[in-house]
Order: sequence, then structure tokens, then C-alpha cells
Amino acid sequence: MHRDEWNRAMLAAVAETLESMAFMEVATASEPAATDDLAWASLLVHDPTPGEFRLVIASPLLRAIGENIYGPTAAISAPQMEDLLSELLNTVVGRFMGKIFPLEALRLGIPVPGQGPCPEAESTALAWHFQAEGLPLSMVASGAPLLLLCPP
Amino acid sequence: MIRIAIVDDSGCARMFIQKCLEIIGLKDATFIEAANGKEALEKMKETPVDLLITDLSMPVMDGEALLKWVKGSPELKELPVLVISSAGNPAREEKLLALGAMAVLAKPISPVTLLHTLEPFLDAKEENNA
Repeated sequence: MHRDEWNRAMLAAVAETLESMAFMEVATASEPAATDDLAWASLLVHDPTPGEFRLVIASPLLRAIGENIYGPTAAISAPQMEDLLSELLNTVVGRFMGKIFPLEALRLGIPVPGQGPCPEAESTALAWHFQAEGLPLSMVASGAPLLLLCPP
Repeated sequence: MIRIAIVDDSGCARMFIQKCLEIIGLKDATFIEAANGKEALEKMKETPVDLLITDLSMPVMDGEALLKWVKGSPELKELPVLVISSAGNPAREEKLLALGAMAVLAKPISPVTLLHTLEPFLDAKEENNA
């Protein structure tokens, strides 16, 4: 499987998730988020091959998605925002892995919301950058067994 | 009135599923929420439901174990179970259908997909009420 197929699969996974959950259109971006107001979470994949995914999203975009789900006037608590972040990551990774490994059993870990500044991605990590409503989000994949399946 | 159990460890996912159900015309349904299979079984013992919608990956008791429990129970075996999960694929779907799930949908669902999937259930419910 080539990098282009992974790129298409990730764009489709992110676009399908945001369009369905928040009625937002997604476009690719060439640069990562140029803001410090970010929320992030990570998720381990156990099967069919070990790896880790991270979702990094502008906090205002996460809030906008939350307002689409909970309602524009809802007071969304911090735990609800973390829950939303985890659900977004889980859904994107599930859809992405389903496209890349359609016939193999998928076993995901539990999403872990990140605390503090988002750590730098490993130099070998794969990153995809997007924007929705003019605000950035990125997906990052790491872990040698997973990345070995995606030669450049 | 239709009673629907929505089982997912994410409150946001439960809210989203409920919102989709309301959009397809189930605004008046009674929704019973549970964060895992065990909690769902306890709640359904107190309040019987007409439809069970469950995620797969949950702590304590996951969706597959819940499905097996329901389909193995003389009291609950006729209950329609819809699985909505981000961890599904064709192989898993086949297994869940063999276990008795009415359908398996990938997250995120849309109201259109949900309506299409639940149409036979809603039609049957309407006929019974006529």
C-alpha cells in the first residue's frame, strides 16, 4: 500500500467524521496548526498492527463541533470536551483503519486526552493536516510496525 | 411510545445517536442511556425497551458480550440490537450478524443511514400499534 492511498484514506476518514458529526466541510492544509490554543488526544492501535494515532485540533474548532452536537446554547463542560475529543479520534482512526485493513480484525485502545502542550511528533511519524471552518486539525501516526506498512 | 436503549461509554456518542434518532422522527421516544453492557442490562431489567443500540468497545462489558447475553436470554432474545461502532469491518460485521445483530453500522452514523436501517423495525412497530 502506498502513501497516496493512506493520504486519501485519512482525508476521507476525517471528512466523513466531521461532515456527519458536525456538518463541517474539511480541506487539506500544508502546514500544521500555527496556534497554541490546541487540544490533543492519543490512541493506541493493538490489531491488526501496533501503532499510535494522535489528533491535534484547535480548541475553538473542537468547541464548534461540540456546539453542533450538544446545541449552540449548551454549556459544554471540560469533561464533555475531552469525551468529544476522544470520540472524534476513535471514529477517525476506526474509519481510517477500516479503509486500510478492511478484512482484518481491528482492536483499538482507549483514547487518552493529552494534558499540557502537545509534544513534538517523532521525526519518523506521518502527519496529515486539515482545516475546517478555517481552523486547523492534524492527525499524526507513529509506531514502526504501522509505518513500515506505508512506504513512501 | 418507543423505548430505546443507547449504550456507549461516550456521552457525546450517546447524545449524537439520540440526536440522529430524533431527526428521523423518534423525538417522542424514551431514551435509556448506559455506559456499558452491564449497566444496560440492569436498566433494561427495570425498564424494558423496544430497541437496543450499542457500541462495541466499552469497559466492564463490551457490545459483543451484551449482544451474546441478550440473544441468549429467553426474555430478551427477540429484542432488535443495532451495533454502531468505529471498530467494525466486514469480518466483524459477519460475526455480529451471525450472533443476532439486526445490522452493524460504522461510526459516525448519519440520520439517512439510520432511517434506512431502522425502516423495517419502525414499520413493524407502526403495524403493531395500528
